Amino acid sequence: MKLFEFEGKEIFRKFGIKTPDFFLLESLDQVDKIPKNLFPAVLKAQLLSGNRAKRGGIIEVVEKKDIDKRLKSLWNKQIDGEKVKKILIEKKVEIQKEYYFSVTYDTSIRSAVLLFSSKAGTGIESENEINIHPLVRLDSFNVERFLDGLSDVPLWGKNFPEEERNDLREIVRKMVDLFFGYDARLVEINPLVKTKDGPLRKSPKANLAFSGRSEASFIALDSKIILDDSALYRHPDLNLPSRTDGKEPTKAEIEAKKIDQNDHRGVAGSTYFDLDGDIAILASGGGGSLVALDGVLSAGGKPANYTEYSGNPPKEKVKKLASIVLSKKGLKGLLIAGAIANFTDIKETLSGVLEVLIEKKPSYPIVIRRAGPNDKAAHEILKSAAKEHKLNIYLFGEEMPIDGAARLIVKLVKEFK
Amino acid sequence: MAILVDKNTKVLIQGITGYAGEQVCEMLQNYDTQVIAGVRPGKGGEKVRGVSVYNTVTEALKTHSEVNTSLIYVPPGFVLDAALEAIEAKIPLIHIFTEKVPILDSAKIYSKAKEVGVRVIGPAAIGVISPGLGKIGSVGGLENRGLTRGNIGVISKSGGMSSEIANTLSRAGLGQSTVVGIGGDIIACSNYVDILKLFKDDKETKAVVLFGEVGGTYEEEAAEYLKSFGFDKPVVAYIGGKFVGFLPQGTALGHAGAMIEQGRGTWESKVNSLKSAKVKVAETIEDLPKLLKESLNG
Repeated sequence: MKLFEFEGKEIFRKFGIKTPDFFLLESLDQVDKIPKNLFPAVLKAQLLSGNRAKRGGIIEVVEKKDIDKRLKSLWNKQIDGEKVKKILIEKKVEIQKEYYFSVTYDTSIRSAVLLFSSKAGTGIESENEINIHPLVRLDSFNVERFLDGLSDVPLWGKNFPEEERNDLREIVRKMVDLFFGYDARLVEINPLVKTKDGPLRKSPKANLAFSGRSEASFIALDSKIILDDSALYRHPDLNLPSRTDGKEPTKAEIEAKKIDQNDHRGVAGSTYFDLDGDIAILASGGGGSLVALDGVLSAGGKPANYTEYSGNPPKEKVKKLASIVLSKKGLKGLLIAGAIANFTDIKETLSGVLEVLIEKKPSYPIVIRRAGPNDKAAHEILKSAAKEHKLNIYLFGEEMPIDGAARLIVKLVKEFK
Repeated sequence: MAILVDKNTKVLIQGITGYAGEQVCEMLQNYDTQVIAGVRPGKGGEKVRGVSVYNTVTEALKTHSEVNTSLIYVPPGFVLDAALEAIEAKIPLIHIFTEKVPILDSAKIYSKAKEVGVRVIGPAAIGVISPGLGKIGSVGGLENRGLTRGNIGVISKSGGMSSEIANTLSRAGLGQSTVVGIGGDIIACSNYVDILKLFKDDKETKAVVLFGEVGGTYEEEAAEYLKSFGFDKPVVAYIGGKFVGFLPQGTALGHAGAMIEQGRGTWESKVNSLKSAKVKVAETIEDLPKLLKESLNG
């Protein structure tokens, strides 16, 4: 699960990683509640994907009186398909230096790694500026030992001046604690900034007299946290609302997700998304569904959706999913395909699809490639139903390859048009 | 010969009293693979399909020291403890069937297994079958359709596709030495390289098929291994998920491992690196037997 910047920063604070002062605006009615001392401020669109910096999602505002216009221009703005519904209003920080830090899993060592760089910014991933340092073995995981080890990493010394290393080690410790403590897949601070020391620049109109000096300190200017979906159950304290990554979910996508939430037998619809083609897809299994989709696209067809069901779901669940898939407008064909099932009862699952087909009586071609337990009985039922209800079904078992079925539906759809 | 599983495989099932555990017990018995004992804390003394159940792995091994393989069929939250128990008991081969195991737990299991020197396959792995000799896990399902004894090794991230590929090969007259499902999780305790090393030394295996998917770096690592370690058997591959490149960014697929992060693990990256290691990459699943025959005869 991807977290919004503000959610990440709230967690940072919990772990003692400093962030700028901020106010989260969740409705335009809250403008009066924005504290005056946040100005000069930066307005930051809260998005889960997309490049907000390049698409006008970050705006500076010097004084509070200017904020209305700026907020209105940002609110509801579409950035890479995602609507701005939350804006972080953050006190501007005077920057002396910027660094990059992250903790994530690296499949090449099958463990967690710390990434750090004395350069920061949006293009950093592509610039080969990042140093990757493996964390110590996880079974005997010992943060202290890992941190001690850091001083021996030549690049650590090369990247950071000595007077900063203690502070940075502390921040790394907190990031590592957060990473393991909350089962994260990624904890990233880009940039971690060192503020300027000395008196902060005063807003020209602020009447408050400034007293004393502020110490230079490290502040997380941005946050990116991705949590492991499989481990969310361990962290009920986070209380995070469910979400889809990036773009606004369609109605069908929301409906399809509900199927598994209400019934845990097998999987149907947990992965569903709309595409803009005309061939409806009901695929089975992760790998088989990839092969089916690749087959349709390679043959020049356009899938109307991606979804899969597997793990022997009951008929009712498959029926719900089929009903969502087949309700789409402008369909010109349906492909039902999957690898030879290990457990999924072919008769039970296809009966769910058949009920929807009998209801909707589509005239477009339907290619079915299913084999596995109870497939003979399933094929009998489908054959007689096709006859009775004049359904244009092309029925295959294991003699037809998955990608062969994909090519056939593309060909039939072209003829149907 | 075969790798990982043969007539001498002697199985312990952790989680044998659950639905999936009992089902796999039945499937193994029907395939003449010896199920020696089961474990379920609190249910010691019971029997499942004639197999004695013990409270702990250690207790089971006291009576049945011949056990050489453990299957883990417990809910995701219990996998770490179950696996550590089996690893500490030094059972040489441990298969984890359970899906949705937290990544941190998988990383801990991988690390511990490496330290102790035992092999773990999974999590979220369908299992291993050496057709005609034996099987562990749920690969081949209830009917073991299309699995025939022969000389082709198969390694697949996808459970469903492992049987599918075996069937495709069998229809073309190519039997399998061993079919290995490694699972599609971010941390696979056995990856392609780990299994390729076994196929390299297996006299019966004449060629290997890889079924890969977008995401992660295991396919790229396999290519590196094949390039640098003189693997002298032909390898053909199919990489699923070409279409993922056409999807809007940030879209997550069902397989956790299929999530593309930071530009690594794309379809192009995998196909290009495998091709540079002289692996023939099939455009379709049906092309796999053709490419294998070309390689074996050429």
